[in-house]
Amino acid sequence: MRITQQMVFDGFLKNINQNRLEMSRMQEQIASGKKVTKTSDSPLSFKQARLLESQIRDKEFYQTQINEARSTAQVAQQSLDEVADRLIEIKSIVTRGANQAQGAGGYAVLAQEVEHLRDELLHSLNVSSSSGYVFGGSNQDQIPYSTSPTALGGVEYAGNQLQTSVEVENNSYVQTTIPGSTLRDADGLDLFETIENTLSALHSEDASSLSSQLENYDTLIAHISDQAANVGFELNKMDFLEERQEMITNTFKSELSSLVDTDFAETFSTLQRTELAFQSAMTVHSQMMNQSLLEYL
Amino acid sequence: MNNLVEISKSGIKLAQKGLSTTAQNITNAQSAGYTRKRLVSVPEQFSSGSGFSGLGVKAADFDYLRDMRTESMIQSKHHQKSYLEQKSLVFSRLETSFVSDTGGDLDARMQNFLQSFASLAGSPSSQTKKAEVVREAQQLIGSIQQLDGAISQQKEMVQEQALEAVGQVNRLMHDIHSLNEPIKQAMQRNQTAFDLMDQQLLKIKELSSYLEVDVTRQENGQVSMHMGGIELMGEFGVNALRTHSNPDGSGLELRFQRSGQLLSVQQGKLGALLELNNEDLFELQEDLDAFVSNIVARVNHEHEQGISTSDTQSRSFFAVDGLSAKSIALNSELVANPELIAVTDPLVNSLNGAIAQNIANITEAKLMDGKGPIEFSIDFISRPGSEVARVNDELALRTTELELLDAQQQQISGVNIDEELSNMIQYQQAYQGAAKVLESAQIMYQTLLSIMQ
Repeated sequence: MRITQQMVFDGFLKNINQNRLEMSRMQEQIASGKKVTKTSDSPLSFKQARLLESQIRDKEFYQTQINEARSTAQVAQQSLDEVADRLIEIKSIVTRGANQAQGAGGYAVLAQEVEHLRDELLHSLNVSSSSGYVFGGSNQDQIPYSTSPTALGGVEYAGNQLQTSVEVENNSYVQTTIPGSTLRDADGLDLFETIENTLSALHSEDASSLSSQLENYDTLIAHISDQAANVGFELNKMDFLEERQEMITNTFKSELSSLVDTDFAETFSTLQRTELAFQSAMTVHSQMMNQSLLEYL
Repeated sequence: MNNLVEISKSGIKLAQKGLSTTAQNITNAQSAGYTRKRLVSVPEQFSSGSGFSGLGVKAADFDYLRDMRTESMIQSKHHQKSYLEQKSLVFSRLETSFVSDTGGDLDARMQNFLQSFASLAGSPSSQTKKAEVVREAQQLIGSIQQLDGAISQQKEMVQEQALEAVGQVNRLMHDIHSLNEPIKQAMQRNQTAFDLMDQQLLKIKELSSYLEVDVTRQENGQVSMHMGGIELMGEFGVNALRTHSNPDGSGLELRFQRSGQLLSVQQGKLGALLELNNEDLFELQEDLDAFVSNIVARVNHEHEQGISTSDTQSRSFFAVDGLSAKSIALNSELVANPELIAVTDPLVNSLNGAIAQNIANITEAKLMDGKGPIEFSIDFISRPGSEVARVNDELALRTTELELLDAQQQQISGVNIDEELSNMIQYQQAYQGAAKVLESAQIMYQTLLSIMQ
């Protein structure tokens, strides 16, 4: 077989180029920390990685939704606790008015306290979170409760009866708020009407009427506590879902990493091997090219 | 005695001729397409009354050391390789435009757009979330139009390159044809035309990178070229080519300038350019348009079912006439006032996020070939890169085959400096030997002359 200088040179160039290409690929992988940065690096891994990234984005989106929903639910729960506290305080005033004879102006003072507590209660029910008003149903832009002399119990509700639900997992929703209409209605007993009745009894100094209203407050307190418990249940559900999603996200991230991230140990060792091959090719070539009959003439 | 002088003279002449062949080989060792030559010598003799007598040596011929079968295979691999190289180049450019490592590609944009509706469904009256929906929709449109722009740009470049390639093919055919006559004349005069043949082969090799041609060399040294049974170049001259755009603008064809006859090109750079323009890029654009049309129709259908928080009018989300990647646009009313985004199902008669949620749920719909919008987006942006990987794998095979064939040809036609130097020594010694014979003959003459004096 004839071997020409051109063949030797072509072979040398081919090997040198291959080694250079491989070294550049390894250096890029080490510098970027990624072994797959574009589709052509590995079409299958790239597509799988993109699908995983999309699922991770999904989970991260749901975590954002949960955080937002949790913030609203926590505000709702805190507000409901405040409402229950105010009702307990009103009930205590009603008990005092029903059991003890009040001195001159005593009922008026009690009525003033109840009015003050009703305003606080109204304030608690008009609470808002980052998403808007918590107890306006799905109408979160408008203040839900406002005083109106013509409305039932002197308080008008501007929201709607819909619960806002937030998607926290694929096709899984949590209710973050309770519509104000549901909140004020305890099986036909209106929260503000009951307070208004208490105020009329106090203004008319009617102890027996006050006594008959005590049971209504028990019903209202139980109703508000039930609603707070429902919110608590949703909060627990969110905690559980968040934990699960974190776990799934971590699994996806680890899977993603194994697909696209550089295996440093392996890459370093390949780089060293390629460098050695490159140096050997250079040495052998420079020696071979000096071997010619020309040197002996 | 006179015989001796003639014999040594022929030896000196042959050694000179051999040395010049060797010198030519050595100096052209690196010249592209050069074929080494070898001097063939034969003894010269005549018959006399007493038998055959030597008259020295003569150069019978020069060997043109190139294997034409291997050459034909090299040409065939050459157009396959050029075809793959051209495809790899265009798909690599597209891959760069389709996929970034910043995460803002079509798949992410599509997902963010649909998620912005899911987020709005949880807070249907939120102005911030409606503004976010508009922002994400604009980002999605930007991403789609960027993809479409990249495909269109490549299409334009491919068409320009095809025009240039046809011009180059015509020039090469004329060059090859113009070498036919000098080769024929040289052969008629029994002269060597090896360097002209080398030049012609180089041009043929270059031509074969553009399209697959069958080359035939006739006995008189002239070459003719055919493609698909049609003569491209022959004794009549050159059958020049031109590109032809279909009237509907869908495709680019190759036709003969004179007859207008259609020429089918499957391989080579020209074959790749035509296929890229008429099939690959066309299909990419067609699929992107179909996807856009599908998404626009789906989102608009859901959006038109609902009402906004501001009024009860039914509106489309995207502009209704924007059903392609080029024309997709948001409904200008929504851009001006995001409050008009439909979120509520009017049948419920109260504010809810049902419509926004329905649009968000499009993420699960099977829109294209049984694939959801995200899956299709990933598949779509991966296509150029997948093609690059596939083409490069095949290209590596063709390159190896071509290298092997080149090496085979080099074994025959390549110059080995050691071999040539060794020949040089042989010719040098032959020259010295012949000169010595001449010197001896002279001495013999002088001896004879001195006796006579």
